[in-house]
Amino acid sequence: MRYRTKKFNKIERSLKSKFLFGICMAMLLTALVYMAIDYYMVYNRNTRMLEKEIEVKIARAAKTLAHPLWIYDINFIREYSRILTHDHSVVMVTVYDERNKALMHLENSDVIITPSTLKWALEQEIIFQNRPVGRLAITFCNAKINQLTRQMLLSDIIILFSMLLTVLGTTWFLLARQIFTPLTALEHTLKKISTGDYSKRISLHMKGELASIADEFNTMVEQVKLREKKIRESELKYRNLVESSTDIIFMTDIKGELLFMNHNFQRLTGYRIDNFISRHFTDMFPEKYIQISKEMLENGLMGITIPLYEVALQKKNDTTVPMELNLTIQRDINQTAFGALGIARDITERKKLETQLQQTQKMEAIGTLAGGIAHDFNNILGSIIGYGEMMEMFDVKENTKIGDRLNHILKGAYRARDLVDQILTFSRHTDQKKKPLRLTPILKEALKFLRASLPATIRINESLNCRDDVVLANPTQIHQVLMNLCMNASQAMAAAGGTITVGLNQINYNQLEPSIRLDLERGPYVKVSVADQGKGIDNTIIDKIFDPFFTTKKPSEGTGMGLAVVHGIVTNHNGAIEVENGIEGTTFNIYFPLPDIAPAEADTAGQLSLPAGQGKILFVDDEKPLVQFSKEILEYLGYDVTAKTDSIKALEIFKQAPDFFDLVITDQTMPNMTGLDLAEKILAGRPDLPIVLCTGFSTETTEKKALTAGIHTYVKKPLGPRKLATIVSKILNRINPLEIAHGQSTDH
Amino acid sequence: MSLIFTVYNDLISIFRLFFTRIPVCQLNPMLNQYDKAMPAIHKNTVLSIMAILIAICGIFPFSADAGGRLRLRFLIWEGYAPYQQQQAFKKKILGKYGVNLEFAVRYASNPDHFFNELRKGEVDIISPAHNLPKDSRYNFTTNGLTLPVNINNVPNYHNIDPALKKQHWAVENEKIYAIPIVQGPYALAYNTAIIEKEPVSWNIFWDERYAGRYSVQKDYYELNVYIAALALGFCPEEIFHYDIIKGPALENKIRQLAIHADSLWTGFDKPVHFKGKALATSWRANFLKINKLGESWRIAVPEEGTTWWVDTLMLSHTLKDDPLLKQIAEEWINFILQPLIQTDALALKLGIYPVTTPALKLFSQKKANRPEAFNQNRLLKNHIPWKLLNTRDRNAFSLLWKEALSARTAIKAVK
Repeated sequence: MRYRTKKFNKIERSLKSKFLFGICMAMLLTALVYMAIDYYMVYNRNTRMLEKEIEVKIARAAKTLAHPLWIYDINFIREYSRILTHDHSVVMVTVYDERNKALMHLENSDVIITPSTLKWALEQEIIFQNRPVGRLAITFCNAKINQLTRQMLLSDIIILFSMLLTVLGTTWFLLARQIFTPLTALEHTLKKISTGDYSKRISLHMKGELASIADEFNTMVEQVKLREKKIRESELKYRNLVESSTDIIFMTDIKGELLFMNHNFQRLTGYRIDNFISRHFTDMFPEKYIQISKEMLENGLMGITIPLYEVALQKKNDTTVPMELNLTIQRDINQTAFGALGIARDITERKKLETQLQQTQKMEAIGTLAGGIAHDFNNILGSIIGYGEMMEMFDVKENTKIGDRLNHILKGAYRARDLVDQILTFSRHTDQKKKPLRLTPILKEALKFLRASLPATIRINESLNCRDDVVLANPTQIHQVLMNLCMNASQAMAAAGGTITVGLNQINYNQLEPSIRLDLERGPYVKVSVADQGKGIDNTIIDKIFDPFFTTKKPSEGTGMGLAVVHGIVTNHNGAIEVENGIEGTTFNIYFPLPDIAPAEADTAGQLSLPAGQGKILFVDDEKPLVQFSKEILEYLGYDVTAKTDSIKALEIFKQAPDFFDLVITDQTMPNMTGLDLAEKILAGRPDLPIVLCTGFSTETTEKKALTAGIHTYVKKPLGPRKLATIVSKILNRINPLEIAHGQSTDH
Repeated sequence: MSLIFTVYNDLISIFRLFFTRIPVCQLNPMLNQYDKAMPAIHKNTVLSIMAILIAICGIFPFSADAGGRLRLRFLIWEGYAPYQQQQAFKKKILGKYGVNLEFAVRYASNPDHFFNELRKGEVDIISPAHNLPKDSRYNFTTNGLTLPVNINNVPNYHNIDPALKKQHWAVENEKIYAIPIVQGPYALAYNTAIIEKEPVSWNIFWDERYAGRYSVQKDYYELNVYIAALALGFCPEEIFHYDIIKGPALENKIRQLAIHADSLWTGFDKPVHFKGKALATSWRANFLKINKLGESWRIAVPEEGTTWWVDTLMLSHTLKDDPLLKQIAEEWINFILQPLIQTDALALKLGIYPVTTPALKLFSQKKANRPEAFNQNRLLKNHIPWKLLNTRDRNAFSLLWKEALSARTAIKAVK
């Protein structure tokens, strides 16, 4: 707008100047031409007139002087000669008497003879009464003609200029009144309008063409005002669109030199936009992206579609930002390219997500594999542990060799079961019971236990400053997470010692790193952090630390399942884990969602029990040892158990006496008929009958399907004696099925 | 009686008006007051007073002062109003008219002087030569600058030499304007101490022996032309006509005369103009004063003749309204035409000649035993009266003399 205003003023000033200049030049040229012509004509005319006049003059003078010369009236002759010399055309007067003597010789001192001066030397005999009495010699010149011509010319010019000035004045008056004054009003209004004041209108108080122009202009201003409003709105809309975008948007000319960039560039790189305007857009990128960017631009200009491609943006702090660049050629209505539009998008998070997704997919694959294996192991271990415990309880006395050997067998089986649990925990195939509990006591109890087992060179620093620390969690698993992380930290500082700092803080979702947010839902979280002062994790392996069985330890020192289990537990608690790795140590941050539960409802730990009871139970499983073990346990606890390894046979027995049974416990995975099908058929005959569906490998879908079908309780194998006793006892004592399911994790 | 009483009252009123100390600025109011307080001044009274005053002025001309003194102003050549004759004339006038006549005499330097003073009205009597009254330069008789002389008041006019009486140069419309009083030559004078033998021709001025040893008149240019023409051999009648005498010879003659003149005198020639020189021109015929100083000057009578002047007296127009003074002036003319005054007071004293016949006789008698008597007779026999020059001749002569003077000045400047 400013440019436009200046330009407008310049044009307007030049208009007046041109008017004035034109009129002055016209006057000047007219005057010059007139002067030249007038001077030439007057000079020639006067010279010709002089030529004619001098003969008359000298004749008249001779006649005048005749008598005085005759009477030798010297005084008269002198005076008359002097009068003659007053003539501007007379150079010299000489009066000779009859003796041919110069009685009088006068020169006109006022005449200045120049080489261009024309002179006429005339002589006239003076005759008085028919007798010569002398002669008159007069030298004429046209020297004064120049002066007279100039004087005449000057007077003519004065008259001419007076006339021209009159015409000019009249013209100027009319121009000023009819044009310049309206133009001035127009100018003032235009200036106001050019500064954006569209409220101004031109009011000329006159009629005619300019008034029509003013009216049309006012109409135009209305339209411009409306149009500018739309333009501003549009501009604002697009500016907001451009500036509110998280992408870097830039425009270049066809040479690739930057014309515009939004402020995201400055925000992202730290460079000032001004420093890049007029530079080639590839200057934003590191060296390796310059050539491809130029090629892309050239391809685009040649009409080839430019694909999205990845570049990196050079930041002021010498780091780079991965960007995805969408470069499009801008063309006018004639399809002529006039520049390029670039939209560069920060794909840092996407890169992280891709990496994370790859990791997740990898973990999912590993979990699926491990879950399948663990299911079979659980069935095997179920038989071993079941029969082993039966032998320990019923067949072997204490302090005997068989008892000791059996105890070793059971310990090995327990360890195997724990390992399978860890695998299932990692793969989220376990269904540990979670309940509201405060983290601070659990963490303190775990740290208390850790202090006893850690070397003296390792110190533990507690920073548990979180009032609202109630989470929905399994205390055993929380204990296990902290133990695993602290053990790893201790091992990282084993050589030089150091401090393990364990923190507990509340944190909002918005305070979380974007990459962490992707795994979490909105809401408050508690952050459990474990920081060591070790030398950090090698960047080359940091992507693998959560992989199962990945370890940097010797085979005898670890299973490689520590961080994998931690990852599995945290994920199973709808939380997330992140690693801050540096040369001064590593920090693991774990985020647990804060449920909307009052702290008073939370427990600090679960209670173990082995209840007995009465009732008729139909137990179905295709694994004979497991069926036998369960039958013996339940009967031991006082229940009447009908055990079957074939689901069809079990259904037939049920159909023979549907009201006989108080509870049905069935495995899910069985040949001929699954546990779920069996349960549906049973429930078809007796809908009120509680059915417990056991499975070694369950999915959320299966569980939902089972519950929808009317299954009373859905439990995960292996079912140890206590677990089995607790479930049965609770069902038959009409306890809420959900509580039964959640309470099963307390069983070891 | 009533008229007398009215006039008396008016006079009293006028006296009161003029002699009362009334500021001028209050005059009109006082007059108004006077108009109210006093009876109106009768118009007839005022007119009567004015008539009386005019009559008084007419009776006693303004040229006479309150005590009856008259002043007669002269512009004449030196010596033409001798002091003794002035006193005698005064007594005569006093006795005759009862007025004291006062002579205011100034001497003329050249003919133009007369004209200029007449024009200014500051002269009552002038003494131009006979060729001036009708000179075209002045035209004294026709332009009203002079008055005709009442011959009745100049009875001695009848004694004037007939050759000089009622000449054309003196008469205009039968009236006599110029009365001759003296006459004389433009003579060739020579110093007998240097030139023993009397020169017989004007050519002696061009004699190389006397070059630079003579003096001639400066203002009367025509006289020098005359003598040059005479020297060239032109006869007396021809010398007054330029077209007859003109030519390089005359010019050269005049130029040589001017160049070789030791001095040029003006007005009336005096002894100082002659002393130590060999030749000169002179208005006079004898040189009493210079010769008394030890010089021995005499006039020569050239064969070619000697030009002759007659001085006259003319009355100024200033006397027109003063009849008494005019009459006294005319009586003065008559007075100096008396034979003894002509001879003793003028001719003998100034070395010139009287104009009246009795005076001429008396003058001849008184000069008979003087050495210059011989020459006087020859001079009178061979004189050439000046003629009235026309404008061309006069101007041509003037031009010739001026050219000669210019040449003299140029040569003097070179020397």
